[in-house]
Amino acid sequence: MTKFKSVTQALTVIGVVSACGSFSPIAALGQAPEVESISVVPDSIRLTSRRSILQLVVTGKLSNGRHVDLTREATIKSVKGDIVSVENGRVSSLQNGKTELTVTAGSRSVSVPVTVTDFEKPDPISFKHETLAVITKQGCNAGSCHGSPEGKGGFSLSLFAFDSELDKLSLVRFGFNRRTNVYDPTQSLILKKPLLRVPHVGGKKLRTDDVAYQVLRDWIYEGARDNSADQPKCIGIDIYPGPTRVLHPPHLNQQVRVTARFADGASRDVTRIATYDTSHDEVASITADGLVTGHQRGQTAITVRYLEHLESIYLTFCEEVQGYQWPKNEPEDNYVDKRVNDRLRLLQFTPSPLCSDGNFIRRIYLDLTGLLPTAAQTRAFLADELPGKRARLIDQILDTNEFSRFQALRMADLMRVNSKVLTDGRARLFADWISEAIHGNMPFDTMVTRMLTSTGDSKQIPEANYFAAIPSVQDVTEATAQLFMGSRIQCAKCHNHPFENWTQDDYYRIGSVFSHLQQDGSVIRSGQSTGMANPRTGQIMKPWGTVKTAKIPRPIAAGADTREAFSEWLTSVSNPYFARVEVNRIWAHLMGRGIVEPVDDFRSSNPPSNVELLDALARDFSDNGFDRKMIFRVICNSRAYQRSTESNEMNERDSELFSHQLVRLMTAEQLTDAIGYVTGTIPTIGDISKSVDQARADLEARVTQLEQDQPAWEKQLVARAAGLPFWRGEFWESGQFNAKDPKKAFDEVRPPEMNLIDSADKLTTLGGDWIRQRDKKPTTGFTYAKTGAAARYVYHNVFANAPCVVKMRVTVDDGMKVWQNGVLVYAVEQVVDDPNVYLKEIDLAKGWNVFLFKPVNKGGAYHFHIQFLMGPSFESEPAYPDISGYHLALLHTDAEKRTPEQHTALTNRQQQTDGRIKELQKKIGGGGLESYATQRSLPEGSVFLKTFGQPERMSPCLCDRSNEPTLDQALQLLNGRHVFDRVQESVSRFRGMDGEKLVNELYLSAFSRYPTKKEFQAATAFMSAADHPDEAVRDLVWVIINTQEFMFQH
Amino acid sequence: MMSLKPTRDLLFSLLTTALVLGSQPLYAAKPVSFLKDVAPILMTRCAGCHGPKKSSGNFRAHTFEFLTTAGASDESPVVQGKPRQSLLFQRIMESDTDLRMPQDDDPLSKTEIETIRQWISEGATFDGRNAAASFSFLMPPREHPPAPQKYRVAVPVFAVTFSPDGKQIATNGYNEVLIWDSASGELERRVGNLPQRIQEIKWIKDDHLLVGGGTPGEYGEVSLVNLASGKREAVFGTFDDIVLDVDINSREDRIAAGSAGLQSRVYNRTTGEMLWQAQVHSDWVTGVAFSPDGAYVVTTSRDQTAKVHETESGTLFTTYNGHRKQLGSYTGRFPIYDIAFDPKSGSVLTIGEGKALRIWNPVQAQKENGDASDMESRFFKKGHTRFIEHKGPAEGMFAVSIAAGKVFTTGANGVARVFEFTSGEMLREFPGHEEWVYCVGSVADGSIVATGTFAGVVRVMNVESGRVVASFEVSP
Repeated sequence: MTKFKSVTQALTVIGVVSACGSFSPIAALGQAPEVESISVVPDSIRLTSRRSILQLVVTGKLSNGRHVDLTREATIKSVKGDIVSVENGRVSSLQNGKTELTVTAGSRSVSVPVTVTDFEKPDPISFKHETLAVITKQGCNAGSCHGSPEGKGGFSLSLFAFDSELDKLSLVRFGFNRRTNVYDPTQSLILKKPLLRVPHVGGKKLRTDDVAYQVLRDWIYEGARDNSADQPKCIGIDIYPGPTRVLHPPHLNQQVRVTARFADGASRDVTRIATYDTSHDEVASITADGLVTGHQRGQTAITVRYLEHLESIYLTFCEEVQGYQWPKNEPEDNYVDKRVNDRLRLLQFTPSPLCSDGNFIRRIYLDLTGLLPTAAQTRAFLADELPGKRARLIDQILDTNEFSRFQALRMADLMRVNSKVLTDGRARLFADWISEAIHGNMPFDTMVTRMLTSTGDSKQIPEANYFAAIPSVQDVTEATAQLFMGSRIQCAKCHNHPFENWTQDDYYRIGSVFSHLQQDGSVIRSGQSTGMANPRTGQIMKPWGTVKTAKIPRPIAAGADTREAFSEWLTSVSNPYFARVEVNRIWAHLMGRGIVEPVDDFRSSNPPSNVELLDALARDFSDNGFDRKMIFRVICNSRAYQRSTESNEMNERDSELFSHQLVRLMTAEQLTDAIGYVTGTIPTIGDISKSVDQARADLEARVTQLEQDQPAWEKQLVARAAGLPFWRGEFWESGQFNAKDPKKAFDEVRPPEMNLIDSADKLTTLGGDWIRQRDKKPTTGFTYAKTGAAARYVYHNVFANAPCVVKMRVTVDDGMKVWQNGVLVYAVEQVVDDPNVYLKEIDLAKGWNVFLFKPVNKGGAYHFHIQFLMGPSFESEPAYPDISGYHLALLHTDAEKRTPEQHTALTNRQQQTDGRIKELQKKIGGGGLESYATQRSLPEGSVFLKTFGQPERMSPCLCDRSNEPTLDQALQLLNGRHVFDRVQESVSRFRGMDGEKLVNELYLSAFSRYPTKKEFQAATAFMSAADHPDEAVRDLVWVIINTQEFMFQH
Repeated sequence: MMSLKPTRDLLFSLLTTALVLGSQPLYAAKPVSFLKDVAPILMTRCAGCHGPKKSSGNFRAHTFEFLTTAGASDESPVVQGKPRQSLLFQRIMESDTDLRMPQDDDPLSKTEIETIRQWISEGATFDGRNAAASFSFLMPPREHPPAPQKYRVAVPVFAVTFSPDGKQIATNGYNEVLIWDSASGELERRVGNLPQRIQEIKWIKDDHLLVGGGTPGEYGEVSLVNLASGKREAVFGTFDDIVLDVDINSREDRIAAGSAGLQSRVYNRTTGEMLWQAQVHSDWVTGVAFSPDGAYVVTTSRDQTAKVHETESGTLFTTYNGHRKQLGSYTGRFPIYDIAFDPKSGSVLTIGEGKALRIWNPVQAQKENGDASDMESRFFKKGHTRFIEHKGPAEGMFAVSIAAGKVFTTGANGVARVFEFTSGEMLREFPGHEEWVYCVGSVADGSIVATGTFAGVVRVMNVESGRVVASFEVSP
């Protein structure tokens, strides 16, 4: 008995033809709409060789406005039979000449002119355009096969043929010409192996009737040559139909047609040699010839790869769902709802109704602030009977400190605000900056631009910590792309991105934007921009944004710092990534799933589940000054957001169209705070938050006060300095100049030596990377990280109130040269043990004396220290005021003549050293909020938080935060120390309440609802029956914490 | 018990004879030989999925033992004399294409099916020595198709060798060896019935040629051609992948061969007997060479090592790791593509990827390898290896040979170079090949050198003057 592979096959054999697989045949057999018109793509055909084959696509427009693919159903006839042949819409040339094709479907018919030329001329297979394409099509060069970095079985190809030079050698000359046999092509190993004529670990990959077989065989026959040197480059591909198409039963097939555009303006049909993939294979599959067949309702991306080009179209397959009816009362005031519902109606999913008020207040508090609403807040909200209470609550929460602090925590996760990396308080500084930026609703483009263009000491400039947190230029490149462009471009570091149109060149173009950045301790310097080279070609790539590429039609002129052009490109309204990525992140935060998922994996082969929705949100965001808070408000006010998590029969199969809300496990921070709230072990936040607001107001007042007091403060310091014999002014440092060895560094590295410096004004004319060390105290030394042999320069000035003699002592590891007012006064090439060697008597003239130091470093970490000693035996330095040389020098200038920048520098310095301001800033940044995990700028590291997926903050990926349920989590909740302690303490919260009140209070704070009658009775009965009331309270609290209703957000 | 045995055996043999006779067709066809007729079908059409590298359905068909053992189905693949009960036959005859073997592929031809049917009908006997050995080693040497009369294109040249008197050059053709006049470049003779590809030719005394070659991925052979008769006189052995190099010792009584199937072997030329076989390389064996005294055979491989074997016993004497150095000069990990012995000093010359060819001595190499006690310190020792920078390209150098103190190298850059062995100094370079040069050979006194390229061009050059003496395409 013959066995059948599938039911469909069996049915076909016994004569039952199912119209559309798993689709309901009932609906398909309904009234068939008429074909109103048909169109054929292309509308005229030119075949220019004996090998020319072209795919036609015949599309019918039905009386109900829908489009159907009729390529296989239409009758296609050639008026003259001997010019071309047609099969399944594929037109092949037979001889030179002109004719017409008559395409008929139903009662409609169109004709398509056909010309065949150059039939007699040779048309050799093009290595780059055909051979490599079919090698990709057969999967030979896939990442798991010969395209892996080491190849397979000693045979190595470039991944998806991105390196045709390597492939050419691998296929032909490498391995002693083992793989191709020009003399007898069918004897070639590259054919015999995939045909399985000789053993092939990769299995059967080729059939003799595949296009690839003919192409490879003929290419070998023709000499296995790379004949494509003068052939125009392929610059892109076009897919028909596109970019989207909706298919309705019973027409669930769609023929795809792919054409390649070439640099000379020509285009060619590559349907048969392009490679196809489908993102949702349960929705639709596609054959090697480009015929798509739908299997169930939903959307899939059909991704087409041809050479290095990758494009996708999105096909939506519909189904007539039995019993489907759109609900009557489903208003769509909000554009979000309009877009979401359009999609639901198309795919016939019924949305769930709105959630209860209790669920809403719990959901909105958790999403926006990370905290549960208090029992009192819930009570008031449930009792509120005025219309619009949800919208009012949303507005109210969006203005709280809790909102900005919780959202800052989420953003700081991605910016790697980690105090292990950002030491010396920098993590705190950066986190507070993010938090205040969110609180002030800083436009997102401004925020990102400030981070991406930051330079300077990350101890002073909070946003410079964006770079300080990331160890290498490659990492900055990848993180920036992932955070703000939603692209995981790390693949493109070594080869073109396999699933997106990112080339290796693109990677290094983005790298070139940041390649001039250097991290020197905590300082981010912007050095000479040299650009980054693509390691494969050795070619230095111009910075992204400043050159025209496929992704950047209108480049921006590069300024002094390449990052400015890049930021301008990135944050422009027309940027295809920036707004979409951020609104998608916000959407995912509120809805539990991105419109694009994962949120940082935007690529054409990973379609948004609702393109229109994503576009509408992005447009709203960019049109309104990248206002994040506004997007939060729009989404929270939508019915889509406020829907119940309960699904119904008509939407339970939907997981990505937002027909119902998703049940989500609370995050680690939310859960720990929620337990704290319910057990009463952390105070409710209201009062603390108010005190933060108060601190903000106090801070403002204090700053104003300080500005008023400035003259007095200045006068005092100036008087101190005037009383000294001399005082030390400002420092400037150059970057490092590498040399082959220390001797060369000492003798020959000399950019400033060429123009010995006698004033700071000249520094900038010397080139290099001079940075003014604004906060360096005169008596602190210098430390440099490990380098190779290198020289540096340090400029320093000293002001003498009267001429005097001092002894200069230089403490140094390796070598040092010193110039005073442009004259070499001191040089030692190597450290000697005698400390007096480093003592040098110096005459200081009245007024400014200028010193230039050249420390020379042999290799390791390096220190030096300069002292100007005086006194009877030159034993000590004067006691300078506690202020940096730079600020002292500024004070020495006339207040009237200072630039606004200098003025600000002094004001800032004064604020930074003010104790009261520090105290207030601390209060705003933490001040009592530190007891809440959701409100901390820096995470607390606890086993409990780690167990529930708190991220390490070591990567820019949202996936760093795990949301996988684990056994460990269950154990933590059931009998972990964290929960146990809090449950023990919970007694004090509920002491003095009678059973009734206690149960209500507990339900309101844990679930944001009153208990049901049954729950109420059970709980009160339990309480009154208890021998030990305290134990009973603990038991009840413990039970509540361990319910799913508590752990989940719904 | 003992007394019963002969009877039972006798009974059994009588029975099988009866069965075989009973199933024979009336017309007398030539009986089928398993190794000659059936095994080749199994190897090309079945072993891809049911073979050494994969065993779909838990069934393999590349040794007789495997072939006759049931796979996942537990049904006997071969039932002696009963094709219709043999699963092997059922599955190649199956009409349902989902079940028919070879699955997802063209069916076997009628002749192939008939061959298998007849073999099973005739008793499914095995005419090999070892039921556990892969058919690729048991199948008799192939009878090669005749070489084409007229070549459509020139074939890449992998082997070029001078006759002892220097007047003739032998090169590979397609299924043949071609003999050319070295001064004029005129084709003199064609010797056929040889492998599709010939990777190495040695011209030995009494006008014999030692030839190594095969079909990539499936077959290799090392054979002896008698130029007087124009016949392939002996085939020493076959391999499951192409033979990349062969050599003969100075006494001309031992023959060595290495194949892309990872094996190295040594044969007794006189008896044709295989002395030993080794599989000590993890990648293709690209070169084999006897030491001048004949004591050692050195093999080189794409696995970046050279192995020194004792000629008579096959015992591994030492491994030379100078092509995968991590410390000192010329560090890196490089495949090795060719080998030559300097007859005078007994030094080995090995070449491949990387910037320099290595000159070393087997005995010293063994001493330097030391033992576990000096593991660390020996990495830092300079070692005895001498390097000659050959100025080759990244894609590699494919050939090295030496004659009368002159070292010849060629590779992917289209340049042949001549170095003085003792000083390492470059004496001359021959640019202008315009293609990868895969092989080089010279006359005994080193005065004339010949190269062969991927494009099928052979050039004969005078080392002293640098003049090109002759140049011809391998395309009769």
